[in-house]
Amino acid sequence: MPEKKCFYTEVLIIGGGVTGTGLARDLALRGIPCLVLEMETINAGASGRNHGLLHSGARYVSSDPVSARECRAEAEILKVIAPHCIENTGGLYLAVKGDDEAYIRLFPELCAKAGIPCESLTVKEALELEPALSKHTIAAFRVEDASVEPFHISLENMNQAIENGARYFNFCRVVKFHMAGKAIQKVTVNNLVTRQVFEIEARMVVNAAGAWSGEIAKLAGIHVDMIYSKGSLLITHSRVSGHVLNRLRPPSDGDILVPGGTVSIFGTTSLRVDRLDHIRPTVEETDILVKEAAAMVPELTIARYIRAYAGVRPLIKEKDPEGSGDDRSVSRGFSLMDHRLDGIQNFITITGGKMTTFRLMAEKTANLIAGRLHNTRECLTATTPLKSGAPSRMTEAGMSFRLRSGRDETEDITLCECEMISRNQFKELIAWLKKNRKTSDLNALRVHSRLGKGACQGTFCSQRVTGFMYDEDYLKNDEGIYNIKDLLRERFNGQRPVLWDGQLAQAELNEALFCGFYGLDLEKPL
Amino acid sequence: MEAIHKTDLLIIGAGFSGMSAALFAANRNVNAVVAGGAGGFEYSSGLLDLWGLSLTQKGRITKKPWAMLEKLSRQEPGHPLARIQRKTIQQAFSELTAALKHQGLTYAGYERKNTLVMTPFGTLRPTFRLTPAMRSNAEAVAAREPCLILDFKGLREFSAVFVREMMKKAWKGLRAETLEFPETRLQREVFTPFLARSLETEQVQEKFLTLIRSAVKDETWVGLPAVLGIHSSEKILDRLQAESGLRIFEIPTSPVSVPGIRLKEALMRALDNTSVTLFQNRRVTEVNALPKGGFHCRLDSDIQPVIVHAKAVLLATGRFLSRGLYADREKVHESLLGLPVWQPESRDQWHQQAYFDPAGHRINRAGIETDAFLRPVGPDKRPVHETLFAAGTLLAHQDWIRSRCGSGLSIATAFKAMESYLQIRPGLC
Repeated sequence: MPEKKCFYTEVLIIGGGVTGTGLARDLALRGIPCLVLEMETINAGASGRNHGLLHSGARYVSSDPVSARECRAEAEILKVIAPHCIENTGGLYLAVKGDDEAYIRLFPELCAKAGIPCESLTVKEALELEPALSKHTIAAFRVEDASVEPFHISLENMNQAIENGARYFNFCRVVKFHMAGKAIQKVTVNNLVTRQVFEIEARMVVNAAGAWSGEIAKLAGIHVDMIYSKGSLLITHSRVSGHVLNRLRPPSDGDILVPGGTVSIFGTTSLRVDRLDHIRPTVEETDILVKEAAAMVPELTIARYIRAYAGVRPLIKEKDPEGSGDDRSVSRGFSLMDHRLDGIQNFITITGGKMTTFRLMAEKTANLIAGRLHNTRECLTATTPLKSGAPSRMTEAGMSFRLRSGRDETEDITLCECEMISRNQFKELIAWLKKNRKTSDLNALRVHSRLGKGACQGTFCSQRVTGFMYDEDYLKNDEGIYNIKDLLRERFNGQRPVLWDGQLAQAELNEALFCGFYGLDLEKPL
Repeated sequence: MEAIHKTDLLIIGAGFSGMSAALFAANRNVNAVVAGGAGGFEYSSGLLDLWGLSLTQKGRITKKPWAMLEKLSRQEPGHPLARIQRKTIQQAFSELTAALKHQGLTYAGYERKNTLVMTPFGTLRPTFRLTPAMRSNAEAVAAREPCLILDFKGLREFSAVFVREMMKKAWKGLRAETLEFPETRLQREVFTPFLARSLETEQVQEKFLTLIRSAVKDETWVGLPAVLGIHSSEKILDRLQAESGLRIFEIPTSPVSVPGIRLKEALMRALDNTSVTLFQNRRVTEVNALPKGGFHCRLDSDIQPVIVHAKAVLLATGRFLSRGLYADREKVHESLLGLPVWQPESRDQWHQQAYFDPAGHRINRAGIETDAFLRPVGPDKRPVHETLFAAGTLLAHQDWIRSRCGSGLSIATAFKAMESYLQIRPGLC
């Protein structure tokens, strides 16, 4: 937490999603000092609320061949520089009885035109690869999709940026731009935790606030016309497929299933929303997804889901939006806006785009900035391994166990059984968080590891980890109670729409324990 | 091959309500069988609650359970506890605690008041009847004299420092220490039931005494997670206190809970050589009502299935965790007989938006509606079967978790169901 009243940096980046952290890494590697301000925590917005799909490009061959090409090129780069964040699953495009046959016939042709590798499979071959597929599958193509851990990518971006001189403040909200002539001279920032107000002076200010870009631009008196498209996704209790499974049809509800570690992620919906507060997945969206799921993978109708989550796609409104009202038809390409055109010399907005092309977005943005700051170093992000010294691998499902197995640590014990995270692993993470982030609460541990993300959704691990944190002197007084309450509140938002069958029973146990036994539902638990 | 067993009454569910009903049946010499899961006990704190939530102040607990129950009968006349007379509830508690005392578990408490017990989070929870080691817990909290809280190496569910940090503001002489429990040097992780069972031996008790003596400085009280034995917990407590000169108390822990296991085992012992047969670890998988009255039920297990012909059935199958109720995306169902379940209209109404909403989640009030005899009723409010009864948390119009009334609800409705059964029994063919 910054305690000073005023800070200086060359480039102030607003937003700690994959775009902002990617940009910080790019600038830092060019030797340009920068500072990332994040209103919550890394990837709190759409960057952390997507499928975790590293696109082969095939999804955009019909609607946006340029994006398709970019995806392919960027995915290839990321597989080389960040293999530890990516599971190279491969992907299948699948059509089932009733899907548009003309589109199916056109698909390989469109892929070829856009330069996206695509191999035609027989239905029998597809079923052998993925036994969970519907018996009504009529066409299958193999593409080079992969599964990516978005938190891991952004954490590594930020960590590497910090290792190269960047700074990062979280829970900090920009409240005001101070103009001096045609430039932003300084920025007033409110620390949402300490309520402290401070100022940052910067030569360049970059708006990478994702869905909040419109609001940030407004602080500079600039109107950026945003479309808020809410998408909800479901996480299954166990992994359903080996490959990324895509429904072969024009983008629609519930047509992508992405495996990641021990789980699968299924989505999404697309719902136009007017506001950015209270974005939560709903019961209705969950039901739409589960019903859609049956067509491609029948067992998804009876699968156990451990939680749902929703994100808002930051889309820039085109001059003439198509009449269909489906925001999926709005370009997924990114927009880099130099606000010199709006009369502000040192303000840039970078928005739109997708996880797969974040590095390219950062490169284009950093090129613009470097030019303005007369920095002639070239972009290193495509060739520098995206690997920091942080113990952040625990964000990956199932990874904690893999890291541990084979090591004989007789003194170590498992604190989180769903994700097999041990006391020593938490200890290492907490020490790192304290040193590098000056924070070590349960929610920070959740962001930086798999804590609370398994089947129990925090029932057992939160008590054990809190007890451990007290034992190690990381918590004082009644902090632990508020830590646990925050974690449970946050976890509940995602559980509420999937509480039936097994997860409802889990929720009952959770409530009996935390409310009935420990009394956390009471106004004053003590 | 299936064994066939005939009985007057089959009690389905061996959790707290099922086992209470079984005990009441045994005391009345009713020929009965009790079968089904007993998992509930391992999740139980071992404290017997009656009512712990204030109905006058939102988000507060109450020390006056009877006053709240009176208020409840006016505010929520459909609540299962509001439908049972105070005298009956008192009788149920007395009969149950008398039987437990006979098995070495002395549950006591105030006539009218709740007692406040500290939890591993350093929070205080109200309860109605409790064992001596838990009563000392409440006394320690009230006295606030120098006190040592102990935890054990490898025990993940309990942190003495957590308790100290939470309570130190109002309790100056509170100290925390971690000890290595006797004979656990080679164990990475230790579990409370294991520690409790090992304390049953004199040798471990000796070592434990030495350990406590060496840890205590000027403290007169010692608090520790509930691990003081299973079968002879009170004798162990007496011995440890007598020989150390300290006041020793237990703090209930999260599952798996030793006080819950004590309760289960005491109730099981109480059924020995009675008119009640316990089919342990057998799940009732089918209940078929016969047109002429009575039921054919199937009990499954890894070995041989058993068919029970019962003249009456008492459902004490609990809620979702114990699978008495089952919910799909559309609706809540009763698992065994497909009984009508009272429930909110749609899944969107099952839960509030905020987890800790003091109103509680509506899904927790879903359940089986009954007539005055605790017989499940259909939409016409008439009993579905002449001799089918229901008791415990399965019942509708109550939120036992938030109200802190789980054991009271189980004991009182089990008692009431047994009374009803005896009233209706003469009519059985």
